[in-house]
Amino acid sequence: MKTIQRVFHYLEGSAFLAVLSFLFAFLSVFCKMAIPFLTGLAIQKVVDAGASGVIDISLYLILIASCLVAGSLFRYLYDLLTNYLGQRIVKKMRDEVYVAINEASLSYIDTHYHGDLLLRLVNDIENVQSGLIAGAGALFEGVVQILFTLVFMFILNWIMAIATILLTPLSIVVSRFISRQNSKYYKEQNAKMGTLTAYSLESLQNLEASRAYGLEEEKSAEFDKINDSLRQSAFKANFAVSWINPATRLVNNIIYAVLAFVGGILIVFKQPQLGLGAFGVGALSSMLSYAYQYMAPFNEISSVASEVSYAVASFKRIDGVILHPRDIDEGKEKIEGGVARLKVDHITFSYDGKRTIIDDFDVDIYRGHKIAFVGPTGCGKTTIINLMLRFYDPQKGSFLVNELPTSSYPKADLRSHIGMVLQDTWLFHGTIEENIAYGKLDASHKEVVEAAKKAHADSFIRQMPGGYQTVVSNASGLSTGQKQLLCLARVMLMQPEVVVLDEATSNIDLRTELLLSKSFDELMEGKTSLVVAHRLSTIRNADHILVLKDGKIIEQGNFEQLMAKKGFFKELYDSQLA
Amino acid sequence: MKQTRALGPLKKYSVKVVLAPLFKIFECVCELFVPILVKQVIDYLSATDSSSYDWMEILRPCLIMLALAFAGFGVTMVTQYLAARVSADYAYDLKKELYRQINELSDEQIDRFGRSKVITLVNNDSFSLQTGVNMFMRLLARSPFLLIGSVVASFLLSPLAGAIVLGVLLASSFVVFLVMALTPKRYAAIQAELDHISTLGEDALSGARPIRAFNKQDYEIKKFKEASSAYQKKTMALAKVNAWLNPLTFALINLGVILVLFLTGNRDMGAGTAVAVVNYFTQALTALIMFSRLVTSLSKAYASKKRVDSFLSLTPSIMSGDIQEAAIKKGETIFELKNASLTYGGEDAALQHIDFSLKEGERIGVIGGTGSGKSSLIALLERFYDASEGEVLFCGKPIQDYDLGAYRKKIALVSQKPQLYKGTIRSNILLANPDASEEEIEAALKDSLAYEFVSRYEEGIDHEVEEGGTNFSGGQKQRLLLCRALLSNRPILILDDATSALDYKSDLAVRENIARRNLTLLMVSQRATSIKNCDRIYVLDQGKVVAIGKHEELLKECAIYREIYETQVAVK
Repeated sequence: MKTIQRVFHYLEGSAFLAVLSFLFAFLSVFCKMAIPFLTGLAIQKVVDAGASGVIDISLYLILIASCLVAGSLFRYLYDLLTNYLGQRIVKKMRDEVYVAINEASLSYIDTHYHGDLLLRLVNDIENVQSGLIAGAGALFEGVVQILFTLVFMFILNWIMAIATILLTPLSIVVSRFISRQNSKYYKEQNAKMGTLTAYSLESLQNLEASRAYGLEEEKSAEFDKINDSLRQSAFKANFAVSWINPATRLVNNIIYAVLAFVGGILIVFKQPQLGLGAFGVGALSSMLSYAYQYMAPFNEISSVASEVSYAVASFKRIDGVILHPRDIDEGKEKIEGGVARLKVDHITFSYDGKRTIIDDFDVDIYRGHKIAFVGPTGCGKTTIINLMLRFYDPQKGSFLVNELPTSSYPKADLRSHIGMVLQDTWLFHGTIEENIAYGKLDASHKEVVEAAKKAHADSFIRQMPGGYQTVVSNASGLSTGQKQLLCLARVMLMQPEVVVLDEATSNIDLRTELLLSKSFDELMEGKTSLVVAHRLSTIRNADHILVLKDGKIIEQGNFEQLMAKKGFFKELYDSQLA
Repeated sequence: MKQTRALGPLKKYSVKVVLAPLFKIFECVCELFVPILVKQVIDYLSATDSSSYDWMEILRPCLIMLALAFAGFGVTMVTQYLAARVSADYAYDLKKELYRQINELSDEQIDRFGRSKVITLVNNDSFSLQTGVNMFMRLLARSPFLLIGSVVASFLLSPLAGAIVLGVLLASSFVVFLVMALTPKRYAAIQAELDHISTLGEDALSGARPIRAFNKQDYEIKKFKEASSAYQKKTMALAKVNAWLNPLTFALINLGVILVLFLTGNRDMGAGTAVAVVNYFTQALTALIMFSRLVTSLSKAYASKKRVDSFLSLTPSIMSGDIQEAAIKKGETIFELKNASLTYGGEDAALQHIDFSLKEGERIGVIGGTGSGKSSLIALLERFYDASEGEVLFCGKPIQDYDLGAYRKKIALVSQKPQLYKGTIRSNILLANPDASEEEIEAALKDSLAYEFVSRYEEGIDHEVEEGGTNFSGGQKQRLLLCRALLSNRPILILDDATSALDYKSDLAVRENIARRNLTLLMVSQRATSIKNCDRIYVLDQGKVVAIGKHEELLKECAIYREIYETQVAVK
């Protein structure tokens, strides 16, 4: 029931249209079912007139013509309206899901499979459209059609109507059997298709290894095996689907033959005492028209029924994303005159509440300082950056900007002062130029090229087929090093007030890194910067180096001081010279 | 040169493809008889005087109707069976061809075609071709036969009725095909919008951090809403066309009914004929709708056929040569590059006029920055690409003259891309040498330093490897790849930045272990310390060789090399 309530939430503002759409469906089905009835009356009149009498069926012809006009009109309006309504709801849901993704906390994004969230945004919403919206319409239409059929049949002849009802289970059993078989084999085929696709994708990604080690034949044999199993399922699925039409025709024809016989017999042995005096050839022909269309709505309903159940499942998945609590962002202050002082005030943090990642971390940073974090993998360097940008909030303590905790500023304000290159490089689907200009949307082409040159990305960009206009994405063929250079170019163009580099050059070779150092010096000139690095040579000129281990600062000072200490830092440094 | 096209595999099944529609026609004939039988009943009931009815006259046609229904059903299921069988078999053959072609084409050709498009060929396009063949066999005969049959049967009943049925069907066909002609473009537009939505969603997820860091949430949401509005518009454009189909065909058919009744009222047509003709209308309309579905699925299949054709008709640019046996002689030159260049189609070449050689037993280092052409050099040696200019020689002969397997079999490559297969550690490291003994495996694991983490797994080397090796860290993956290369027992080892994710200590240990194995070695690295003991070092910069020599010579003579080395050891 809760689901239904939630569905109605998306219908808000469309309720009138929804009712209207049902009304149109009702009217168009009525007109459609009335025509065979009127046709029967007309034929009866012709038969009753005998061979020589006068026939005037113009009344029936006019009525049929009105049904024709009204039926087509309502049908057109109904088709159009359901579609409009469906698309309106789809858009509303999609926008809400997308907003939810963008407003979710990072812990939500980090702990959910991206592929799964994407599926909700794209496929699940399509399912809701076809299942809940188009499906609800078709379901309603089917039920109405069956009801009208029976009503008209009862009006014509109650014995034949009852005969039809008695034959109904045949339609239901056959259509349910077929749709069940169908969905079973369809799912099986889909699952195997998924396996085959995954296998092809892997092969395509590992082509180099496969060629270098001559695995082509072996892999082909494996592919054939999966392919063969798919072939078996595809056959079953194809065959199951192909029962629908012949079986429908069979059932229709059985009902048709039985009704033709029953009707004929009723006319032969007239039984006026049963109230059937008027039953004649015309009524029989109407009956037969109904019989011929009787099975269709049952098929429709049973195929829609399974779609509706998928759609409900999809709907719940979508709603789950939308209803997820949003990220908290309640700060009201404004950072006046830039970030003068940045203090880390006794921060303790854990991602899961169990394992402490940062333990009572405390440090003071002033404008213009270059601070470096070093330490072994997993020591909490990246976490500090996550906390500073408020991707996560600490359990104890806080970052202070100009004496106030960062939580008292809106996140957007805080982040607008910071430019960063993160460990995981990110390019969106767009041209290289658009990607570089992401932090400064109005940058000119010249500025972009300038920034790319500073990041030493210009030369490889020009090697690419489309130069700066080459379309790239996170998954495109660029190497990690090249992606890092593009992300660096982004920050070079932005010229932020506080610069954060989290292993920003980890995949860039030493020579390029050396060439970059001049650009870095320019970028960081007079600015506060925080640098996380595993190559210790790159942080020699930092004002202050913090050596982290297991979430704690174990040594700090400048390069010379730390080397003189002959402690953990020196040990790390020496291992790089081996 | 074997030319396989999309429909090639269908030839095997041609008998069944022809046979299936014939069975279908039998069912159609059965169906077309039904309205005639009904007409008999009606005529009998309206003409005969009610006192002399014989109920057998009613039972007989009804029993024939039943018999026809079952006979038609039985025979048509033969067609359905054949169609399901042939289409599944055909799709199997087609996918097999596609996979074979993937293996034969060069990386360059596949990249140019588009990797995601190749995957689409294997799933979507093969599927729509499968559906196309299926529908073709099932409906090709049925729909037109029923359509024409209805017209002919009506003509036989009364020429006037025949004319009306023909007219109504022609008008309906016109409507159906008009709608069909207007829709494909709109479908394509919707798909494009949906792809766009999917791309934006993907970016929002993978870029959750940067989008927030750059304060671009509102900007992204605005972009998305535009995309979802565009999608909504495109779907409505389609709906507006499609919404005409039902009401117009409904109106036309019933217009026909009105005409028939009018004629009956004027006594130009009998009541039984009228009922039969009304029945033919309904039958023919169903057939027409079916036919339009057939055309839709065939036109989809045709679009797929064109895509598949364009892929299957590509001639592999890297063709195997004839020389089967490549004998490497002691101390002789194995690889030689003469004035070789390689371009990927951009403004600048990735390698420009390179001279290079590798002798048996040598240890060669290659060093240079990002984009200096190091990996391109390896691509030439493995013949993943052919040089756009100049020559690549293997044991003195052009590399193109060799069977691809013949010389690749000599090289153990550890590439930059950590290419692991779903399976187990064992299945991955034994790829090139399934018969390796347990001792060999252990030695290789130890030499590649993979032993330390592999031995910690409960299942040891039977530990699972997930798709793409995502359950291993970068360093672990590199060690497994190294182990695979060592286990392959191939005489030449090529390391393409193969230890970049290892710390310096492990890197050193691995190098010492490899040195003990007496392999011909080509080592590409960003670290000067890794290659300083090589017999010869090539320094690459922007696709050119800028210096060749031993470590000490280069330190003296090559400024770039000196810079790299000095930043690394940080001694000034």
